[in-house]
Amino acid sequence: MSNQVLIFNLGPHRACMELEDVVQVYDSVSFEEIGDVDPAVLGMINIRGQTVPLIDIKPRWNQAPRSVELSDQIVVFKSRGITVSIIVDKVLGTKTVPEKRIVALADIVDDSLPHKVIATPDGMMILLDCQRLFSEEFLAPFSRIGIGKDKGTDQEQ
Amino acid sequence: MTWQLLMVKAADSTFAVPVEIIIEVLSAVLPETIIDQPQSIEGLVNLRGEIIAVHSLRSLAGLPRRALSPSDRILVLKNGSTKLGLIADQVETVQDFREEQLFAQSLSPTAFMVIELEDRKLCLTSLSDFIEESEE
Repeated sequence: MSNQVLIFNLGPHRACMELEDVVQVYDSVSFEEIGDVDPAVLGMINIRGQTVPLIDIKPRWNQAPRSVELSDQIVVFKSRGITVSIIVDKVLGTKTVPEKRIVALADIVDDSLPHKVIATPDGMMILLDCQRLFSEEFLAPFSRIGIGKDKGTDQEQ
Repeated sequence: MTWQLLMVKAADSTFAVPVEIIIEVLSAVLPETIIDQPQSIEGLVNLRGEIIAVHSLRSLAGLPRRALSPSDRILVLKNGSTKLGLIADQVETVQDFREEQLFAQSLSPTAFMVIELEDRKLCLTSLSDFIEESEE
């Protein structure tokens, strides 16, 4: 069994996510800053009429937050049923990774870590668990006002 | 009863590691940090295709932390299915201790502590507790 992943650089780190969770990749776009939200939320972007939060996860990697640059890219994906996006330095491409090379961080570091790690010839990359990358509390404000939810989902409510 | 202990140093303090839990000693490499990294680890290293978590002896012992130095060493420790790395400032020699020597050492004000690995947790055990555990 193998997993297809989308690989990207986040500062000095290499990370990836399951391709099936990824909605789309965009080059850096302008975003609308909003107040009164978690500092990790840079603002909102508009994707084909849908408002999606743009989130910087670098501080969670002990990297200083920095302004978005034109060379950055945006990865849009689903997390807990909400469409969200993160800013990354560069998307490198996709790769098929054999299941046997994927190790859960819970098995080698701490049970509370949902992500996984993949050994590579030049080191390693973290396989982010899109579903548990953000807590329910973090996403709740967006969910409440329908941000990041599919239009079909809004109508159902 | 005798024990073989590898003597290691962090800052000016000496610690001992039972040789039976040591797999190998490596030159220090900078561990890769991870997202939401717990304070208890320094990061991960790729050990010939196997990813292991790396801890710092300075952090474990509550000693002042410092940046990794080229002279540092990573001890790869294993207990059962748990394998992890431990960064030490310096690795000295393996010493054989008889029970009476270890007991005498435990009474010294400069007695060293023993590093043990239980499940995925590293612990510092006093010599008297270490002797007692070994006798059980």
